[in-house]
Amino acid sequence: MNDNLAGCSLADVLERLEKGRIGHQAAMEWLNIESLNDLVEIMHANGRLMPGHQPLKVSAATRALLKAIWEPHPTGY
Amino acid sequence: MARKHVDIAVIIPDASPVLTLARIGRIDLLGSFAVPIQMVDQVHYEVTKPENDPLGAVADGLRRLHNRLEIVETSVGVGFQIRKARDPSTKSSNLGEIAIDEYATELAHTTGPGFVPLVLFEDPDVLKLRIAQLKDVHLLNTTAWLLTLHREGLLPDGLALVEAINAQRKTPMVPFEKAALTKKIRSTWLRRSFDR
Repeated sequence: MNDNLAGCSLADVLERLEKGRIGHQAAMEWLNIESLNDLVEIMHANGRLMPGHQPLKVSAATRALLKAIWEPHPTGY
Repeated sequence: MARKHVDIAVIIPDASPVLTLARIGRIDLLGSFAVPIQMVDQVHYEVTKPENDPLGAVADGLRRLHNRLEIVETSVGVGFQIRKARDPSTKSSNLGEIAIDEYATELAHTTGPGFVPLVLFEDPDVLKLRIAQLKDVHLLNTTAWLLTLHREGLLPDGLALVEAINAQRKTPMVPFEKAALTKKIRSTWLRRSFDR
């Protein structure tokens, strides 16, 4: 399952992981991390999902409702 | 695009969402709702009583919401305070549920078709209450709320907040939502309210 990751960019590695072309261990070794939690966090922070995971299904109604009634505070929350 | 008038209120029917936000120090998030947040007096009493809020952090956080938070007076809450004044040992168990049922009954009789109650809850028992059966009710638990805000780009640290919440729980809080009455994907109130 493990491709040759030499020369891959971060985006390449995360994309391969998301598509299931490489395993968690290969990605963690390339990223030089030891925690699966860190791996998940890196994936999410880069807009990727772990292989096999489904995004949270949120209805159009909920998204529209929250967008309509949410005023982010100018200081950032 | 001109929007039609829609009357939305965030209703917090039990103590859990407030206590969860308090545990991660983010009661202030409720202040970003641009619509009134309603909590019945009995639930407000429960979350702020010294036994549950010994440092007063919850009461302080709710006070800072100023007029964004509306404490809804109920006969249950008023009656409890009278009884408690007479006998300080009076127990308040289950009165929060009874008070929110009273308020749901009032809403059912007094609100028009343009009213959308957004119920922010955590306790699954809330699903059995009348507040969860109101017409056009929209149900959302705390993690579904935060994750949706994050996904919509409205709350960049939404994922971190969910992680912080789950780190303090034995099991992760599974996001839950139940959209208002829908016809296929689009809800009837959504079309009515926002011309979508």
